[in-house]
Parts: sequence; C-alpha cells; structure tokens
Amino acid sequence: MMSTPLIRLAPTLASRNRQQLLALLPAIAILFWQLGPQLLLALLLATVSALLADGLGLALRRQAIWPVLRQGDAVLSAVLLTLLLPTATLPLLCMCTGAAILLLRQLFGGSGSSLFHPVAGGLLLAGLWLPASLPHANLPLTLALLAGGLWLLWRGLLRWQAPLGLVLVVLIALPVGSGWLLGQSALWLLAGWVMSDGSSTPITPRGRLIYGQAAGMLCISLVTLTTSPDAGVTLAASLLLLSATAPLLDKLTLSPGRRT
Amino acid sequence: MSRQTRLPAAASSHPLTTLPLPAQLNLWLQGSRCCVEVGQRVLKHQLLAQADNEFGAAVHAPTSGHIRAIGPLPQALPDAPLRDGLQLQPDGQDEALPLQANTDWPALSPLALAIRLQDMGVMGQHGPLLPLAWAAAAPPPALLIINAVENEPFLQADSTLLREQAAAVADAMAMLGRILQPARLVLAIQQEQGAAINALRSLAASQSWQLEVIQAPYPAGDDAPLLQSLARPEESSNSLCLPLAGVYAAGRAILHGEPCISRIVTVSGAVKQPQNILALLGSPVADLLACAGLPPQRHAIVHGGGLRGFALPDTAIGIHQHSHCLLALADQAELIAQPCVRCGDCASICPSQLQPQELYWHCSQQQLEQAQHWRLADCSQCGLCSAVCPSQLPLLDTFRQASQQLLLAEQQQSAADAARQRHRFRQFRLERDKQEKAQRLAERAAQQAAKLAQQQAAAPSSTEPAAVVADKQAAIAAAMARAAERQQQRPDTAPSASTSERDAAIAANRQATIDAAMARAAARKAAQDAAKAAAADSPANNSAAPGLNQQQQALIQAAMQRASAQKTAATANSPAAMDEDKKALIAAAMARAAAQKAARDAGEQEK
Repeated sequence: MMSTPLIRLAPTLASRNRQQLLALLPAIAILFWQLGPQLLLALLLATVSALLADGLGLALRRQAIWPVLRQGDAVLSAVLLTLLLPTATLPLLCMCTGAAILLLRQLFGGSGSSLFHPVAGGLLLAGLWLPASLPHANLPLTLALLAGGLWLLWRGLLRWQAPLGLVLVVLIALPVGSGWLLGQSALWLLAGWVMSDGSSTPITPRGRLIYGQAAGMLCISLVTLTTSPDAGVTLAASLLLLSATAPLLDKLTLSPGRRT
Repeated sequence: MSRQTRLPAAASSHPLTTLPLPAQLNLWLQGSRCCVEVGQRVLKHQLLAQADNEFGAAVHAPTSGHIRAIGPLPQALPDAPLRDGLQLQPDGQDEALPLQANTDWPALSPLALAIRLQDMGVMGQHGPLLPLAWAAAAPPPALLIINAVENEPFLQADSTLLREQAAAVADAMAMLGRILQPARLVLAIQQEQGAAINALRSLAASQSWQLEVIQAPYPAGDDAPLLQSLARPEESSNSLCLPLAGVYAAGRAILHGEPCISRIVTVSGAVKQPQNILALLGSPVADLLACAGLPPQRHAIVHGGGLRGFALPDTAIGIHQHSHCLLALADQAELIAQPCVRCGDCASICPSQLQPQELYWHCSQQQLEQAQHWRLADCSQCGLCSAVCPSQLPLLDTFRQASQQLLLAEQQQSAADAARQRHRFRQFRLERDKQEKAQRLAERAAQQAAKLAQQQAAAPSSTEPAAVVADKQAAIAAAMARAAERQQQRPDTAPSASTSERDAAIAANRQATIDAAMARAAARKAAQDAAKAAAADSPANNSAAPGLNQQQQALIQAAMQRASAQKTAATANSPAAMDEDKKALIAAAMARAAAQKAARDAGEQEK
C-alpha cells in the first residue's frame, strides 16, 4: 500500500506545466497584438493536433490516455511550436507539431524518456520547408519572453544552468558578431522552455552547464561559419545534437557521492 | 530551493488530554518473550513479557485486565506486518501493583542502568534506550544529547511533554548525568518550540546540562545530523543521542520504579480538534482518532509525521513506543505516479547528498546491489524527495521496502552462517567420537595383551614390574590430565552464579551474537597453533629419541593435551572473547584431536 505524500514541497508535473504556460502569456499577448486572431486559430489547431498525436501514441503503446494528457506536456509543446513557427502556414505547423510529438515523444516512450525534445525536433522539421528569409528581431516579444523566464526563475521552476551556459557563451562571443542572436525570440524561447527540460538534458547541475555552453558554441559556430539565416533552427539542431551526449555527460558527472 | 520557507509553519500547540480506557489493548512484544498465559488476569505494571535479546525490551501491563490472545498481530509499521503481540482486555478496575522506587540508583553502573531500563520496558530509537553493547563497553560518553527537536510537520508530542513535565525531564536528565557521567550533557530543542524553551531556560540555569536551540531546517532533528552539528570534532566518536520521550520514561522508571506503559501521541489532520493525547501503549488507533473527533467520512490514517508517515490499513492496530503522531487525511483519489522527468529536485534537496532518481530506478528494478552502490544505506528516509517529486513517485516507500529487503537478506545470511557452523561442528563431533572410541578400544586391547603376556611370563624379572609401574603411571597421568582439562572447562560451561557477576554474565549472554565471530576466529587460531605445535614437536621428539616406547608416548600426549587445553582456556577467558563455552569446547576438542593425530602419526612412524 503506497502512502500518499502528506505535504507537497514542490508543484506536481501538471502544475509545473501550467505555470510554464502561464509564463508564456505575455509573449502570446504581444503576438496577438501583432498578428491578430490568426494566432488564436494557430494555437487551437496546434493544440488539437498535439493532443491527437499524443493520444494516438498512447493508444498505440496501450497506456492510459487521460492521466497523461492532463499533465499538459502536449499543450505546452504545441504552444511553444506555435510561438516559434510562422502562423501563416497552418498545415505545416499542425503537421510538425503532431509529427514531433509522435516521433520524438511517444516513440521514445513518453514524456520521461524522450531524449530529444519534441519542440526542437519540430522546429528542425519545419526548417526544411521554411523560406530562407532573414528573420527580423522582435524586441517586444523578446522582452515578454525574458519577463516570463525571469518569473519562472523566481518561482524556482527554471533549471537555470543550461540557459545560463548558453547566454554566457553568446555574450562572450559578441566580438565574433553574433550579437543579433540576442534579439531573436527563438533563442530565449528555446533557452527558457526547452533547455530547462530535464529529460533531454543532463541531470546534474554541472552537466547542464556544460550542455548549455556546448550548445551555445555549436550554435554560434554554425551561424557564423555557414550562411544559415535562422537562429531558431540552428539552435534547435545543436540542441538535438547535444541531447545525444546527455547520457554521456550524466555518466561523467554523476557519482554516488562520498560514503558516510 | 530553500526548504525552510516551504515547510508549513508549526501549528500552535494543541492541548493535552488523557485517553479514556480503551476496550482492548493490542500490545507489541518487541524482541521479548511472553511470560503470561491466555486467560490470566494481570495487574497494572505487571510484567507481561521479558526481553529475550539485546534489542528487545520488557512489556508491562498498562492496566489491569485479562489476557485475551497471544500471537502475531498487525503492528503500526509500514505495510502493517504481523508481529508478536498480545491482546489485553481491561477490566476497568485499574488495579495496580505497588511501585517500588529504588533509592540505590546513584550506585548503578551504566550497564546495570541499561539492563534495568530494558527490564522496565524503556525504549529508544532502536531497542532499549541505552544499547547494552554500548553500556557494557563504553567509557563515559563525551557528549550525551537529549533530542527534543521536532521539526517534522505535525509532530508535537515532545514539545507537549516538555511543557507539561519540564521538572520531571530535568530530574531524569540529572539522573542520567549522574550515572553515565558524560563530559557534556545537552538538551537539543528547536527554535519553534518556544513555550518549551521558556519552561526549560529557568531549569537549565541551575542544572549541569546545557540547552541547545537548533535553527536548521528538517531533518536537522535526526540523530545523525544533530550529532554532526552539536558534537565537537574530538567528541564525535564517543557521543550518544537519546530521544526525549525515552529519557522521561527512564526517569519515571529509575526514580519512581514505574515501568513505561504510556506515551503522548499527537493526533492531527482532518480531525475536529487536533490534540495531544496521553494514551496507554497498545491503545487502538481508532480510539485515539475518536478522542480527537474524527468526522464520519472515509479517511486515510497515517502513522507518523508529515513527511515520514505511512498509511495504516487498519484502525484496530495498537500504538507502540514509537507512535509520535497520528494523522487523518481526507481520502484522496489514488495518485498515479508519472514517469521521472529528470528534474533533479530530489537530488538537490536530499540531506544525505544521494541521487534519489538513480536509487529509485535500481530499487524499483530490484537491483539491490546497485542500490547499495548508490548508497541506499545512507538514506535517512526523511521523505523530502517524495515531497518534492513532481511526478509523485513513491520514492520513500520504495527506499523503505528495499532497505527492509536488504535487512532481511542480511538476517537470512547470518542465520545460514550459524546453521553451517552448527553442521560443521556436528560433523566434527561425530568424527571425534569415532576416533576416541577406536582409541579407547585399542588401548584396552593393548592393556589386556600386556596383562596376558605378564601372566604367561610367570617368572618374575627385574624389568617387567618396572614396565607395569610405568604403564600404571601413564594411565594415572592421562586420567589426571583429563580431570585437569575438565576442571579447566567447567567454569566456562557453568555460568557463574555469583551475584556480583550477574550483570556481566547477562550482558555477555546478550552479547553472544556480537562476539561470536571474534571467538570463532580466536578458537580457530588456537586450534591452528596447537596443531602446529604438535606437528613441530613430534618430529623433533622422534629424531631426538627414536626409541621412545608406548608409555612415554602416552605421557607426552597427556602433557600436550594439558598444554593445549590450558592454552585454549586462556584464549577463551581473555576479555576479547566473551562467548566462551561452546567455542572453547570446540577448540579444546579440536586441539585434542590434532594432538592425538600427531601422536598417532608419530607412533606409526616409529613402528
């Protein structure tokens, strides 16, 4: 007989996801002000396709559907992808959301064991079809995301080591001419909501710091050495690449500790 | 993440009430053997069960009544396992045996105190309040901590005890200080227990102990962190931590002669009036909850504090000496644990710096060796990891179960070792008996042959009587050697009956399990030494005097037997090896066999 914990000292998974969505509200408001009701439609469709894909995956794996769906992982992924991708191409958005969740989350065995973050994967997938146009900096959106991230940090929900590593590297690399990255909303979105996810990053603080720094270096080298115009897609690619090293970083940085 | 701010603030202290006499008491006989019978009427304070091992404590009747049942009963432990128990039906008269207060307590030695506390049923964290092995061996402790810290949510029993019985606690501490003679005696208490601190400050000024106010967050009140924070480096190896409730009970037992039959339990949660209840040991959980006013709807009953508590499936279970707290929770839907999302919060909050997520993985996969590698043994089972896990994984329950499995495996291993030892000894004994019998037969045949030869050679000669005399002398010497040997062994086989050594003998018997390994090693070494000595002696004798006859061989053999018996007896009597009787017997027998074998070999070589 398992005893229920009497006192919760930290929010549950569902409440965590809700608060992460709440932290995205300022950014959604800014985009709504810029794009109009089209954004709401995109959000709705992406959410529906994400829920469908998640439910389908769970049904195929013969798992209970509702207890997992109500944790809100799928909704969070859908909202993040909506904010990252252009809302003009709705079918692309829906397809990428569903495919990412089905392939990168459900195929790997659920939210706990998805080594590659579905948002980064979806972004990379969409990058294949996106027009190669230089995106412009969206300062209000960036500021709104920054505010949301700081709120998460204050609530103790943001595992800050990986984002800090990334931002540090970008700041150090300013002389190379990568300063424009800081104005990109995709960078802050990926740093605050994707890199802080535990299942695709190392679990130790040191491992996360290394992960963030390596992701920053890889992204800056890709941006400066190639002519890839989109910071979001490049960063997503480097995140996915480095997620593969997470087990190794875990092995290197995790130890049982000193025996007492 | 700061733990301090997130733990719920301590509620204001609840009043203390006394539980009305329950209709039935379900007592737990923890490491004790029952000395009453079903149907027998017992009086309050009457001894019901006596401690039968080092870790048990006696059980006394909390009130007068009839014994209804003796046997396995579910106990207030995780998963409510069946343990030896006793059902007592009170008759409501509460007729008590007269209490005999001992006035000679200042003369008690630490060991005598520990044994008396065990006989009075005063328990500490594990087993009797003062561990017997510790009390038998130890020099005066450098630091004695009385632990009154309660920083787990909902716990109030110790604070209530301090508030209500500050003077009695002070007396008990003075008593412990007088007998145990610690260099420093400290009462540890937490910042939040304000009323209790005020009650103690005035007392502490005039006493020989200090008051230490702890400010660190949970689980700083556990024994290990408390020792770490309070002990100076030079004291850390020789300090002891005692729970407050046990110290108070020890004071009652030694100063007033009253065995431990009740304790204070905090009843809280979804009850109408949370309160601290003074309840007899064995009172059913349902009675305590009813006393605090439990609403009619279904509730989950939790035994223990807010973080360590575990669910009880049955409210008929009686409380025991470790029942600090009972909580009633509005029944929740069974929570569905989500997979681990590797947030790492459990590792960052763990006070023992473990990696609970790795530990959980290995424990849930039943890989106990891996779990030990990830320091399952260092888990203090504080429950913080379960409380922060966003996936609501049952970390604490899993660690508890795994620890219990490990403990069980260890016990089985030691039982198997003991059985193997017994079996080896039996085989050895059978073999030895066979050899001795054969030798006796051979000796008799030789004697008869000699007698026959003597009779046949009727003519008296000067050499023959000498041979007969030598033969007789050899037989006398062998008999004397055997007698001496028996005398050497007797003090070991018969326990010393003198009253002055009674305590030591009791402790020695109880310590048998501890010392068995040492004694075994010592006995083995003695046997090896004897065998080596015999092996070294025989060839030397053979080479020095090739013409030794049978009688001289017998003399040498007797002398060797005597020497080896003395040697073994000396080894067995040394203070390092206190478990003597059986081991000494084994060693002596083995030595004897080795000597005999050596002598026989020598004899064969001679022929």
